[in-house]
Amino acid sequence: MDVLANLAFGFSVLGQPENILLCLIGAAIGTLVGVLPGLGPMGAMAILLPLTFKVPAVSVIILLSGIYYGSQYGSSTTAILVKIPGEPSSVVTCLDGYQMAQQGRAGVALGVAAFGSFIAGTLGIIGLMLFAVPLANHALKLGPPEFFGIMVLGMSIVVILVRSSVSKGIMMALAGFILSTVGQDVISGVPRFYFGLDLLVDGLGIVPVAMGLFGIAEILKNLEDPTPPEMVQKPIRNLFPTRKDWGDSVFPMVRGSVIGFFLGILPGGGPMISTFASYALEKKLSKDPSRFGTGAIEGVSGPEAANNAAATGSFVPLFALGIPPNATMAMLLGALMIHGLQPGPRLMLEHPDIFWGTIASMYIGNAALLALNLPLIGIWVKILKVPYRILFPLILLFCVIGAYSMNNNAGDVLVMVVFGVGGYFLQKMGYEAGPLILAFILGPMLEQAFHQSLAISQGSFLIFVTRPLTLIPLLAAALLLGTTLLLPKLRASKK
Amino acid sequence: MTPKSFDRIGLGAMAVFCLVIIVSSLRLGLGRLDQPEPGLIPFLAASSLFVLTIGQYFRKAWGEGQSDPPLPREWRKMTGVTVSLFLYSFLLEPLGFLFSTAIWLFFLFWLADPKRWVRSAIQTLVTVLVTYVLFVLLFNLQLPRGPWGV
Repeated sequence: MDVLANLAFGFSVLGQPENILLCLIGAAIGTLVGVLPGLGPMGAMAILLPLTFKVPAVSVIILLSGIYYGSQYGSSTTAILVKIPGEPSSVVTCLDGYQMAQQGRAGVALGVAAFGSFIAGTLGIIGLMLFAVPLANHALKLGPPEFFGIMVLGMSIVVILVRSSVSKGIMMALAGFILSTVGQDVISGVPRFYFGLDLLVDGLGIVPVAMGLFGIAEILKNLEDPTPPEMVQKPIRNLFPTRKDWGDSVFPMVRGSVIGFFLGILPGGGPMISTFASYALEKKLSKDPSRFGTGAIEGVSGPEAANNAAATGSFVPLFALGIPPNATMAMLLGALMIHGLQPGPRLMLEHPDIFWGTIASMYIGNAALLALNLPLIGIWVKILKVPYRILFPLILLFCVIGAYSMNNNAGDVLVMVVFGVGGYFLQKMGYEAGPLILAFILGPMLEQAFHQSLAISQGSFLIFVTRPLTLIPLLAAALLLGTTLLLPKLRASKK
Repeated sequence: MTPKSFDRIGLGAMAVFCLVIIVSSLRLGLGRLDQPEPGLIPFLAASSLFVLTIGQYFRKAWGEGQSDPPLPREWRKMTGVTVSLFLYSFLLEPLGFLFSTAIWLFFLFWLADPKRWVRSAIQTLVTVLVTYVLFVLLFNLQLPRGPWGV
């Protein structure tokens, strides 16, 4: 009953006209950035964040959340029609979705993806309501040492799940942490590593850094090859799945929703990992696994459900613990902090409007996304046809405006460009920006938790081993990193 | 065997970054592990990163023979975009948003299709005007004004 009463409160928060409008705008922008390869929800959030300074925090979170789960819907469109994933979470959809489109079943693929996303999104929201509140209540009993342990574990999982080597992931996490120390020390207030530059005295802003790494770097990567992608030319028909399509898809959707939601909660989990897990499961359960990769509808319905459920699940640790499980959630956390809110379990108690308002907006946003992605699919198809030579200057311009507007300082634009170029070269060398941005955002919180823990224990490190809820995540992190780094070497030496 | 020169330069830059942070951290003071001063945590992080960077360098040095990746097809365009971005960030405040953006956007549109400069000019004009109306007049953002007050 509490949940229902709180949900009603959430809908009353959402009922304000600006919140409904921002929910719908967020969903639409999310679909757009999902459709367009290159920009991504992080880049879009970073661009829009400076525009929202005068807007209440709850409205900002509603907007940015809409962008995140909206992008999961939109990315399937590009994956199915062009065989290019709009977002990494739709890589798997390219395999069977594009094949379905080539067989004249693009409409079915798009329909199944959209309905699967809607069902998973709805189930994910229910899971979020049921899990986040009890977890937050338990988290109130946790102190700085426990949060330190959880953040270390979260970072470790993100690092080991990078596509390149784990050591490169660790290097990026360390680099991100070092960059987070630029500016005033959180404990002593002493300015660090500003090298006489006024620009760096207050530290590096999350918006220019994120836009550089995820916006500018992606654009430079896309400019490498001017060949336009080949789009399926067959007309898009039959967006609403038939009874047989539903029969083949409904169980993969449910399984994908469950897998996605729980993987989304785990740090480093997120939409991409959940889609691979769902695809692997459906292939294993299938009576004829050889169909996968040739246009199997389960290869679209399961993963597309998984990525939306994961997107919703990733809100659980953000709201309940104040710990973002992936880089995009880290942007949302940054947005909360920019608006003067301290993320953590107390946020849900002290600002229930933010949590329940966001939940309510997700119900409306998911319904709106179904409408945006089915009847209005023609709009996104037309957008896909806009030449990149027109799109990229616009995206760059929005990035510049976003970076400048943070502090009305051209220095932030320069920071963005530097990180953009740096991020491009890091990508070419096989280093991923995800661990870097996560460590960049978590760095000050980690350092503060470390110092507070030592203050509590009066300088004794035993506090990290005598408290079980601190020791367990630290041991788990050490075990994960150790086995991931050493196991391949041990196997190689045995051969 | 030497690592790809591309990786050499990148890892070298990373190593220099680490050394700068290490030296700066020492100047800030390290304190003790149980009573850290502002430089200790960055010192530990930078030292760890330095060790890993050197490890990566030698891992690639003793690995299989490698060659540098080919230059991207559009490397000239990418260089033009990058240089223009740097210049734009320096000219944004002195020239103001309208003029600097117009020059920069025209360059970008022209770069994509050098033969159609009239079309590039029209695209620039439309984009700058729409952006100005949207962000300055509607969203009330404080974008820089040039010496002419615009």
